[in-house]
Amino acid sequence: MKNSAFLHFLTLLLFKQRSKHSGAILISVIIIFLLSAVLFLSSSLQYTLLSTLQRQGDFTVTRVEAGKAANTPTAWVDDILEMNGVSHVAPRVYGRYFFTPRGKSFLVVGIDFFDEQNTQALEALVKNIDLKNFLSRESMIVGEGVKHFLEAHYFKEDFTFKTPKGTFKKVHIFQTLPPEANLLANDMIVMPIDLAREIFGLHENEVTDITFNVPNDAEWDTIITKLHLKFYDVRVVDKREVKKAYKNLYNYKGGVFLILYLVSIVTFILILYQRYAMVYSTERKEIGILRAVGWSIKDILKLKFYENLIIVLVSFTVGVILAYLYVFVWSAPMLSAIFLGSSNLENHVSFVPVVTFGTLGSIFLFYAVPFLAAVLIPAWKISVTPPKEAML
Amino acid sequence: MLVVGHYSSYDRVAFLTENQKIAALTHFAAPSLSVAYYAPRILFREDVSNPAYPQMPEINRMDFVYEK
Amino acid sequence: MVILENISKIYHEGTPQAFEALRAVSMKVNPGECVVLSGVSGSGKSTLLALIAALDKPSRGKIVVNGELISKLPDLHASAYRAKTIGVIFQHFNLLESLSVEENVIVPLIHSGLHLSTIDSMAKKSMELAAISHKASQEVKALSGGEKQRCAIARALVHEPELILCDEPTANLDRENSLKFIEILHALQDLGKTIIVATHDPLFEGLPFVNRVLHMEDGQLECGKNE
Repeated sequence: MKNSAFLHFLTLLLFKQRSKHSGAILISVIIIFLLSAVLFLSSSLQYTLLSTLQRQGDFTVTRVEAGKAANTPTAWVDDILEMNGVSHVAPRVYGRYFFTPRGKSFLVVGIDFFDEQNTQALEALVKNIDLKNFLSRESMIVGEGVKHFLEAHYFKEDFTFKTPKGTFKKVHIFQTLPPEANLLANDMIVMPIDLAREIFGLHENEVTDITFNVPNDAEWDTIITKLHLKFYDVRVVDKREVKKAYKNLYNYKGGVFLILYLVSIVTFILILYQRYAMVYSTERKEIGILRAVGWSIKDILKLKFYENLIIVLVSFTVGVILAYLYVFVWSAPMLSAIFLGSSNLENHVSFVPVVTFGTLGSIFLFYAVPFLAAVLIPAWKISVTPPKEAML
Repeated sequence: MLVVGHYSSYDRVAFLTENQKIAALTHFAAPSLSVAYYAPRILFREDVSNPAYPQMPEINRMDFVYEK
Repeated sequence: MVILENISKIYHEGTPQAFEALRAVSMKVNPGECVVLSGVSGSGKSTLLALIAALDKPSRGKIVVNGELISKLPDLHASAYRAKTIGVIFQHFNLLESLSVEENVIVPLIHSGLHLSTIDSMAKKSMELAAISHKASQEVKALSGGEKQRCAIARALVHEPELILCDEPTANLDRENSLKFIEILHALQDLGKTIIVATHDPLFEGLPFVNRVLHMEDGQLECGKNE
């Protein structure tokens, strides 16, 4: 093959000069790894959350008192049902219960198990649950994070809640939610609605908020207006805001990584500059020699291009593969703590593999183009110098 | 090859289904973030609290210290 | 074979630092001749050789090699000229230190379009001629001065050029290796190669196979013995 001599020489040069390239490869792999890991993690989280968001109501309404969320009257459920275009109205009773000694909190969610839909949903979620037994005494089903936390604090069978009335409520830990649901339910406690009301001091005619659906998107703004006209003290949150909030949740974390990335890029540039400065004379002489023995400028640039393209491809592939394994096989040990937080309960989430090829392509271009330019421009500069000067 | 195999053989449906079941039961689809709920998130913004977490106190305020 | 007409080379022309390295040099080298350019350092011999090798361009005048005007060649043609017509042996050897002898020798043929097996056989032949076959797989940085020079000779001969240019070839060699080099040059001339050697080594004086010795001083050519 006509080009086999060139390929042979290319691989020979790469192998013989591997120590020269190792620094650049190492930094490149680190940059690609960091970027890709962050990308994979946030894509996976967004994919999972957006798919589950479909199950949540389009709207959530809460009563406000002096701008702060307050208990919502159940009477609003009927008023909302009367509105045209509204469906699946569901009142929610929940709250954040603080375990004061450790400053940790649990999300307590009350479910009306007399509603057949809810019991069916529970049976689907927790396999082989003995519903009769669960409902026969005051019991709760807890997320994995809650389970581990309570066990660590010697609450193995029961946990005692303190109610606003000053009484204590001992609740039996019936079962744990499946670990696959940790992303949503790690710090969650599911219990009968009346028990939740008692723990948070809600009356029978009160709920925390109300969710409902409006299948026709075009009606959404109209519904919001109607709600504000109907209730003077209402706060309405629609799914669009929640989706935006999900994206904003990762902004500051993205910022941390942007700084990390900038630091890596600066290190990368420094390494390239150092390499350029230190090996400049060696590189210059080598190019001069090749020119002297009959290589044209085009031949030199072809060699340098392919040499560094291989480095780019190897670094990129290794970086992406490592990032994939780190996030989707090993569940991103430290990175997930940064994304999901580590101030409350420890969360062990496994991530759905989601690879957005478009963004990977952008990372490749963002990294490959400056890298190749940083190599080819000096190489070209040396190549156009008369070989006699270059060899000095 | 290992990565390609893992990616193509991963059972996404089963994984997403569990989270969807939780959302169906509780009507809650918010992620369980392990955050300190009083922590200020965005500086210098006079804004309502995070709509995904309506129970959370206002961001960047010390009300929870000074009220009552 | 090689014709130089009124060749001048001025470095940094048009600036206060302008320096005329060559002044109106004219000479002719016939095919199969061995010509020695002698002179002290700075006399312009290396500059003249560099211009004949198309490693640099003259400021004025023209150079014709084998009927081809090489003084104004664009890069692609100049590279092809260096790759096919000439072989250059440098004072400081100018080898790729990280590669072995054989790998250095094949460098000029990488873009020749020849098959790898053909290139390998040409390299072997060239290394035998330069008496460096026994060190084929050794890295250049581990070789002695004489061995490096023989490697450079093998590289200069691998593509079977007609014209061989040697720029101070014995400057970094001891007497024994210098004499060995001269023997190789003699063998090359017997093969019909045209050889131009730029040197100030007195060992090249009075050599029977050298056709002419041309003296250079201050960038100008003087007539010398053997002319």
